Amino acid sequence: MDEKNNLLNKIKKYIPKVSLIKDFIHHNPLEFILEQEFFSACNKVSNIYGYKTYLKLNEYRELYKNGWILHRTLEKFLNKHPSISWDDLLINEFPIYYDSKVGKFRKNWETRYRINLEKHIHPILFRLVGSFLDQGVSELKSPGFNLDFYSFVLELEKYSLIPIIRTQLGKQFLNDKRKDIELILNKLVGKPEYYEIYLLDQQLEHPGWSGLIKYLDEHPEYLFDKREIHFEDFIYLELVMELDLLERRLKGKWEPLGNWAKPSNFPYLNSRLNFEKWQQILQIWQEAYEWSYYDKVLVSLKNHDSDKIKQKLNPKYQCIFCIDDRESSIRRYLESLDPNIETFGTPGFFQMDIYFHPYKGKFLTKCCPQPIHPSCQISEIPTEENISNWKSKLKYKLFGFLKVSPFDFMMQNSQLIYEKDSNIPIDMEEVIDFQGVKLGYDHQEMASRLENLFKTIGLVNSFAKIVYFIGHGSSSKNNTYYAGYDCGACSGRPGSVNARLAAIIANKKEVRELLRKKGIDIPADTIFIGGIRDTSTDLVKFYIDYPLNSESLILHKELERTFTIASQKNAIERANKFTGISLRNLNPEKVHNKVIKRATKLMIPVPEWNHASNALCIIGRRDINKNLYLARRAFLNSYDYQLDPDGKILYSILKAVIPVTAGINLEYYFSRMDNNRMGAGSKLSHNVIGLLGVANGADGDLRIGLPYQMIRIHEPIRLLMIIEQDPNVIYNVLINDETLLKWVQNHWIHLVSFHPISKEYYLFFSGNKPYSKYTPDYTKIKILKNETELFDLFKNDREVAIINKL
Amino acid sequence: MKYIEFSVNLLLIFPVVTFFIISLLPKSYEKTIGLVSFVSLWFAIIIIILLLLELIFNKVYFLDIPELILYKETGFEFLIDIFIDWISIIFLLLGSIITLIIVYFSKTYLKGEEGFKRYFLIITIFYFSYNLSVIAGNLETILIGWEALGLSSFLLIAFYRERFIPARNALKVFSIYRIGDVGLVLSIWATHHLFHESKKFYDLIAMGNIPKLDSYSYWLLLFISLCLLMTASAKSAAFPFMAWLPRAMEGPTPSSAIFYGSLSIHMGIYLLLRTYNIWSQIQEFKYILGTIGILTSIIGYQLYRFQYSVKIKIGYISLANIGLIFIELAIGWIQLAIIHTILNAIIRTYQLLISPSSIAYMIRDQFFHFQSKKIQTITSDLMKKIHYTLFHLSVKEFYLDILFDRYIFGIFRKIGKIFNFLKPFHIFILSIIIISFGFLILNFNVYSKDIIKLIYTSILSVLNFIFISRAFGERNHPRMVWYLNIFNHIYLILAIMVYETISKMNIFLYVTGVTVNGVVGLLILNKIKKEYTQDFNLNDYHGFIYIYRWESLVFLISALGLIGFPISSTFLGEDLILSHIEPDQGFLAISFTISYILSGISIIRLYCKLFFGPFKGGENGTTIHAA
Repeated sequence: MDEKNNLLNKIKKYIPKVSLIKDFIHHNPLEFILEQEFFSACNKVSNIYGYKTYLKLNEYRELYKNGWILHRTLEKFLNKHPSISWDDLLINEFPIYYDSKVGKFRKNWETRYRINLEKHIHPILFRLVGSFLDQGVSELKSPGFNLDFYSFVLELEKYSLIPIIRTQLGKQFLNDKRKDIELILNKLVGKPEYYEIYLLDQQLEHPGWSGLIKYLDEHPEYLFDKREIHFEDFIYLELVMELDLLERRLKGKWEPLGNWAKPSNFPYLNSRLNFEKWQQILQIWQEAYEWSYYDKVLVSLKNHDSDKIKQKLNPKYQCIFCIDDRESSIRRYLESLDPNIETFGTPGFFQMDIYFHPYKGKFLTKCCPQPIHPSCQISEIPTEENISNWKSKLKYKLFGFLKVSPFDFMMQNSQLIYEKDSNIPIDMEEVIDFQGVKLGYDHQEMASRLENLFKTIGLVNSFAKIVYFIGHGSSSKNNTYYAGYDCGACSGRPGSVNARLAAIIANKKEVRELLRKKGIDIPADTIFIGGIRDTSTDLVKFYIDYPLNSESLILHKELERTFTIASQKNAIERANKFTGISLRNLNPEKVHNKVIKRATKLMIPVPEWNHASNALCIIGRRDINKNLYLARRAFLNSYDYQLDPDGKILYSILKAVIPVTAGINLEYYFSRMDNNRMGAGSKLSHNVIGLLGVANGADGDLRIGLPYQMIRIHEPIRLLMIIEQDPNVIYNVLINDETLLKWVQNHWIHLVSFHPISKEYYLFFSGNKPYSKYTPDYTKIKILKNETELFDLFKNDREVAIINKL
Repeated sequence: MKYIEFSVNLLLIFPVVTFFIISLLPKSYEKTIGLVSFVSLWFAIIIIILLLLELIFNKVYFLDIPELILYKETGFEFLIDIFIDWISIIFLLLGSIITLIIVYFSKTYLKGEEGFKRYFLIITIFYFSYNLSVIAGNLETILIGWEALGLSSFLLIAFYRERFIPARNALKVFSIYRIGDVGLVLSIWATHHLFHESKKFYDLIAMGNIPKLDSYSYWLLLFISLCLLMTASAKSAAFPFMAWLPRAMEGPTPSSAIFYGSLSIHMGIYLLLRTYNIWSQIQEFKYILGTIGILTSIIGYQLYRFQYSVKIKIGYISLANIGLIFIELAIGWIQLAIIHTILNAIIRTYQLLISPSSIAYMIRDQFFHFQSKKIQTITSDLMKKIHYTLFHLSVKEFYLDILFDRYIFGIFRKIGKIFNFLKPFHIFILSIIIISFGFLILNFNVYSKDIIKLIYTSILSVLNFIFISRAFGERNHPRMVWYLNIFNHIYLILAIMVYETISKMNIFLYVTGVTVNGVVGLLILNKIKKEYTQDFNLNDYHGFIYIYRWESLVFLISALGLIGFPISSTFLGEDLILSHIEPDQGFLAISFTISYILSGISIIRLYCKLFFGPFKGGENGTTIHAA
């Protein structure tokens, strides 16, 4: 029994992680090999699975020719590989060849017996699983949906007049209570040492379904319509079907695979492999490609004069945004329009780990990062009779169902129940303890969450008159990947509830009292307002749950105006990338209107570019990068090194930020590199499968990763994380957490410390030392003088510039 | 009246002009390409409306326009003919509006997609062939449109040709379409013999009921109707051809919408409407049509109820409706059938276009209105049995896929395997003997006795059958398939020449068609073999289209020429030959039918397997079959 589990666990590791499409979470597709160095891992998966992990050689050469890969950077990396010459890099052709070793062993069935197992088994197997798991596409549920998957199959076999399994041998295994994979493998493969290879061969022929079933086995709670399915049962059934097919077709005249075929020295992930020369060459190119951009950023960041900016104090507004790269440009515009606006970045759930229970919702929605398990729920109840508005109801019935808007996540006039012992109207009592999760926070919990939030972003004093929490969501239509466009820190939901909740809580006197004791002094006249920004339409909406006095109302109105202009400018910047033409002479309002309309058109497969071209993560004060144009490529997390001499706050930031941002970055990276194997291919032919995921056509496997449309303009480079902190502090944080260390040490992300005082860079794990001084090798710095020059930058994401006064 | 003729011609000229403009535009001019198709469709719609108005003002309800005579000899005339009546106008409008919507949708939806230009070219081919079929005035003209429809369908299913499943499914759908096409070819053949000329629909309507049916003509008429029904069923995915429909949903969503939701799939109904005068007098046929309608409806509905994927579900409910329309036709409710067709087409287009959003709105709906259904406690064993059996039948698609794959095509494959011992050498020797023997019979009277002729044609038919099955089952030698298909044509022409005198022109037409296409194809095959000897087989899909872009196009054209697609003289030749087969020469007719189907499939399979699918090697990376 132990061995069987062992075998299964070995397999499970290699099965990709596939979550339900309604909770789309970005993750690193190669998570299972995180303990190895990045390029070695890339080359290995390339040799074993046939994944393409680099761009094409000519694409790199093209980039070099156009000056995006710098000669000096290339030279630097070339010198590390003495066996490779300039000619190899620039002229010579190589027999670049990707080949999958997985599947070869099992292919022998076809070569010898002329039976294509996939062709006969996949359609039936997929249909059985698909019908069983279906969440509501089909009119009738499959019979026996209340049983677990294997019992359902047995029932089907028992009652259906047509058998699934036809041969005696197959039936015998199907009805075997033990469901012992080893036993059936013994019949099929024969040699125990090949079992693992055989199972991998088999399961990786349909990574999508295997991945989803593995996921649902571990997290059945994510299905609305509950089903019970076990990964081992699924494998067992597939094995039985194979056995049956072989037995039926060959009428018993066949031998176990292992008896006559041998896997051609199957390379394991932990074994040493010889890499090809072209892999080294592509590696050099990739590194040079990455550092050509990084150096540009680092030089600009260093030379960008942050001290000048620091002189102004006491801002009128403070806006706290999500860390998301899409928010970086709107922050830039807001600040440049009004110097009285100070912005911050933090993961978009604003430390509010909650389940949200919308009014009349039948389920709870998790509104915080996936790994966190919230302890309480926040409920929504209507404030007035706005439910029976027949007009809006009719509108919803006719067209509304197509639109997925973050604004609709909460009702027009509703109220959040967030306190532990709130007075709840009698007719709303159902919200208490809904699905057994307790309702609301107590004051202590509220204060501790806000304390966390304010300390991580370094906002502990000098609060402005109005402080905004602005979450984000994305409107789109006809888009199967809609969940991937919303806030990742809210489990693929819009951040509206969290932002609104954070503002409400921060406005509470009792909470402020508690916060004061913890050293965060919020002046009595400061008010908090929650809001949500739609990243695809560039619209913003505020939730004003707290009566504003006339002074703050005027201030708020002013900010709304600024926001409108900033949104228009932001819309222009984005529109440039949709059309590929410069829009500088157009009326900003018109452009914005077009962007709004475009976002929810039926025939738009790309409502926005989402995280495409993300490449940076800057953790530090906003001042260090405030006047830097980084396109929309940077995740910006505010952090004040002065408040954190021992790195405790930094640890709490990194623990969340590294897996999330690197997950996004690497999912884009690998989906771009190999859109067939690690991405989802073109989404235009996708077919929604049982509300679980998408597949191509009728008999296809579920697709994993990102579709071609999402990564079309992505620049595949790894994440460069710049932290404004003493390298020693960072190092101490890292060595205390093994997982974080793995990300950095194995170069799945690059980590650079920007010393706050000496203004020097320290690169982590580049040589023998944990960190060493790094001087970027780039001298040209672009300094913009007027707005027209800024427009020219929009065309290309690779541009970096300093915008001092615009 | 002149003006009407002109505007009808414009409907065919517009797509052709659009096709050439688009093909001349560079790939990157996506906006222009989209705009050109869009504008030309608007023009087409305006023309149709003007046409409608003119017909109303002139009080013309039927109009026949003899377009051009492709070929004429005594007793045989190949005429492109146009016929307009209210049914054609309705179908023209429906088709143009839906194509317009799809083009409008696609020009934004497909932006930046590899194959943007190709997509619009195929849509234009589709639109042309749709128009041609709809305004066709006789069965021959419909056949041309019909084959082009099938081609555009095939190309769109294989739009993502770098993947394995679309390539395989395109081939599968083509096979079924081929069966349908042969029905049309046979019905043309039988009509010739029934009326001793190519009947126009106009004449049929003018004639009213066909007078004085003796039992011979009655059976011939039934045969024609059944052939037409086969064609209609294959195109409309009616019983028993239903299994191709889910497999066709491989292209971009809008293309699935236009083909399998709305237009292409209703063409079968159009054919039945058009030939209403032919079959409406035969009671037996109406029963058969009704039965097929009922079966399609029931099975389609059953498959729909248990279907868990959105697009396929829409496809099946569309089918269930097509079944109903068949029943309506059988009863004789023409108007209802047309209204039903229009509504079905429009609704399915809409549903398919918004099918990606289903995941969002269904989940939202579920979130607020979910009710965990009570577990049905079926106590009766019998009910449980029925429930599970129906479910299982849906999972297995009522065995309809297997029916064709294993029991129809599989049999030929098996026969082919028996003759695997025939090597190219044997085939050459055999062919030379046979051909020279044919010359003997033709040129020396001594040998041209009836009994010898009979024996000779029987041998030819048998050999032809063997060869074509062999080509069908061949997996290792692509060139062998090609050779066998060329010989197939030569045998066919020999068989007929023995019995009848065919004009030299006739033979010339046929032989040039076969030779030119045959040689061109062979040159390309040789080229590929030289460079990729290892992969030059039919065991897998090889994706050579990535290496040989132009060659693949030329090869496709020559392959189409060889299978008698209406772009080459082979097509004309094939029809000519057919017209020389007499109804009492049953074995020749059967031999022709089988070779028509199998040669078409074997050649297109050759094309698919060589040029489609993932290309192994190179920098493009790998793929898995199931994706």
